[in-house]
Amino acid sequence: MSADPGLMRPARPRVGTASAASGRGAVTRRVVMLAGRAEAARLCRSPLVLGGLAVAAALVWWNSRTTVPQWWVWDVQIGSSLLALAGPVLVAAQLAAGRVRRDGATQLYDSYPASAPMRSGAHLLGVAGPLMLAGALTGGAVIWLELLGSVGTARPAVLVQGVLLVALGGVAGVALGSWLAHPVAGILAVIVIGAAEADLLVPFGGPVQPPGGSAWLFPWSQPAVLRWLPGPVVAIPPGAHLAWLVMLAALAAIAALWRGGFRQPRPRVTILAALGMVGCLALAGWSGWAQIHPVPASAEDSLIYQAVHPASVEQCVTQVRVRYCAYPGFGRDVARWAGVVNGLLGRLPARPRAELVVRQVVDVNVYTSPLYGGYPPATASEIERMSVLAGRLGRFVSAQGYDANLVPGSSQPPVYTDINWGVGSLAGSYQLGLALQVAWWIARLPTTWQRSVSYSCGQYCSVEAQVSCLPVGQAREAIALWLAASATPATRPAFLSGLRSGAGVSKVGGAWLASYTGVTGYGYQPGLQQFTGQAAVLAEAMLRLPERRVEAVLAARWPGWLRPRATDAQLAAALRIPLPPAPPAAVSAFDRGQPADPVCQ
Amino acid sequence: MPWAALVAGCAVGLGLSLVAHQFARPSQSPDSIIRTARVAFAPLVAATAFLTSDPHRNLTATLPAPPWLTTAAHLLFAVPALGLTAWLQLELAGADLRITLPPGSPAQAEHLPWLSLIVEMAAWSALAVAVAAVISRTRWNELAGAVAAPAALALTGVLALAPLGLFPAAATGPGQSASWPGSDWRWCALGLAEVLVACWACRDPWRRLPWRP
Repeated sequence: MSADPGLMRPARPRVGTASAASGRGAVTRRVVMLAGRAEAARLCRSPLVLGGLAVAAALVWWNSRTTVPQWWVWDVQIGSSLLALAGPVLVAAQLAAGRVRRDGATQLYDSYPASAPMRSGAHLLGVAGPLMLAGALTGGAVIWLELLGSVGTARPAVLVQGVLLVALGGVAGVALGSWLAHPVAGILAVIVIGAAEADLLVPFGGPVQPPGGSAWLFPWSQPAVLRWLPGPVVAIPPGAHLAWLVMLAALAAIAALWRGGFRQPRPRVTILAALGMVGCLALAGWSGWAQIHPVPASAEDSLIYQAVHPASVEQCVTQVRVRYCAYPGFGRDVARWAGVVNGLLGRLPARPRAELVVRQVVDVNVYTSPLYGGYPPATASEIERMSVLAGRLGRFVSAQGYDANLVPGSSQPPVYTDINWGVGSLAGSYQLGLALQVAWWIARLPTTWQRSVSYSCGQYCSVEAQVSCLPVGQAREAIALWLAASATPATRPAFLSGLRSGAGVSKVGGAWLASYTGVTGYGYQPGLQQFTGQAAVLAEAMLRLPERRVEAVLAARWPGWLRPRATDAQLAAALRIPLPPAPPAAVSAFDRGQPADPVCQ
Repeated sequence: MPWAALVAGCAVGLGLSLVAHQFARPSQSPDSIIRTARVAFAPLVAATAFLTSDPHRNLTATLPAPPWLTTAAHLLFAVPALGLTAWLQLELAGADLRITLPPGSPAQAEHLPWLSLIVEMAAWSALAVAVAAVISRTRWNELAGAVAAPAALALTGVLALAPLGLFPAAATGPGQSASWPGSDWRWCALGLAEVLVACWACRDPWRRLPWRP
């Protein structure tokens, strides 16, 4: 048995002073490596770090459970989730780095061969442990999201930034522990940074809204608009953010090492550290300036062009006589849409002759902060340009609800789906939204409103109402609802759940009747289908019947059922069920000023 | 007396409230203001977790004074500082709320649920003290505050996620939510339980050598 800790290499014959110095350097490196490895293992075993890792993994799972992941959202979102690990790593690293001073053992440790800078170096090396955990979590998240069928492609440079957040947390913790040994320092630092990050990560901004690109000067940000974009935007996150994070970590590392050598100053090391710090500050200044710089005009133009000219940007594929047009990168979603469309068309006695086009559109005006870029805008022309772009996109999104000919090459009436698609508990809601449009297209009912009317509801009160035709008493309405609800196993519960949420009222001629406007709050929103309560209860009754019986009745008079003359009463009689009574219109919801809807012809 | 932790916690808490006040805007919702006030309490709670720490623990354990006296004395000195800070924070939150109200609103509309928020903060602090006091009885007693602060904040976060109605997020003033009184009673009950746990944990010195005549 040997008492040799293994720090010294086998003795070599002394050749000269240079050789002795080289030997000392090797020993120093070895000590730092061994101590760093021990610190890394301690950090990885820390309950705080393990708890943070578990929370970060849980956040990835939780946020991916209801919508299909888009990589230009999720490479940023993984970074946001890793903040839950970076905070505990900061606290744990601060506790580790302040251990000697906290225990009042500075003089004892000074008597050891490992100097204070060596110990600081070991603590900095120890950050590699949590860094590996972060890398493993990122890798696991990438595999998980790919298995979920994510759309787009992950950007490695953005994923690296997420991992760098953990490194920054660890290095900042070491620097903090080197200067302030009290445990409260790390905890308070995490609370302050956490409060700032929570403010930035809250959708649509928290109480403090930092202007424009300055949000990226904080370690991390995640603009809410990302999930409505048809693809990645080069400016989110800014390319310079990677350099910013590296420089912040380098500055913290220099601060930690500087404090370690503070008590035994060595001019050469001090000068090198000072130069390093100046260099890092200069690079941090450059990257900081680059981050708050306005988004390039070409990026803004490209985004707006993609949004308002979907027909010229999208890639279309034809499957089973249905044309699906999706933005580049959304190829995997086509199979999801096709599952709904085929499930619905498969129930028809005969397919329509016209070609169905399912088209993806941007249905939210995404031209909001942070796409405004730097703030405040440098020139009046920039302000004017921004308002023009925002106005163009706003008009396009608004027109989706009214203009059936908005996008060339679409079906008549158009069938749209938006950028997001649901999975898990929200799959049915998204599927139902698309199925209702396809069913309306089959029934030759409009999927857009006729017009929008603004009317007064009292003093200082104005209401915007959409006027849309209602197929009152027409069998095709109930058939369309039955088809939509029967499209997939998930659409049926989504439809029934939507009906349970309660009916509104519509005025047709002079009569009030119960109606529904869109039974799902997810997916494509402009121009939601409006239908009567009578059709809803009849469709509900049809859903209780055997499917083959309903299909046989429809086949017996197809396509006659789609004519406006075919009534709900005739359909109920053909199905040999009594026509369910229409739900009463809620008198409390009557609004005298509300415009009347026409009957669909 | 852990002045460093106490002063740092109060200063950081007040700093957060000041920043929120500086950036307050009329479009902010009352819910958001209350949420910000709660977040600003977090540094105070973290500081409270260090009130049970006693670097001279082994020495004071040999003194004739009862062992709980140290913690009690720390709390006695800390409560005025914590109370003053919380009062200033709530004043700032109240000022933020007044900015959001339209001109000519009734006087009672400009009113934060002070008592409810104070009860919440007291219960969180009691939780931090209780956790720290329990950890002080273990071999990790020197890290009691460092462990108790994140643990208390994490537990509070878990309580916020749990469907217990402990964090009403309703508007204040005339439309004040009916859930506030219920949450107050629940916080009082929780706080009382935490105080009992803290008293139990502080009742005797931890590493008492068994003495047999």
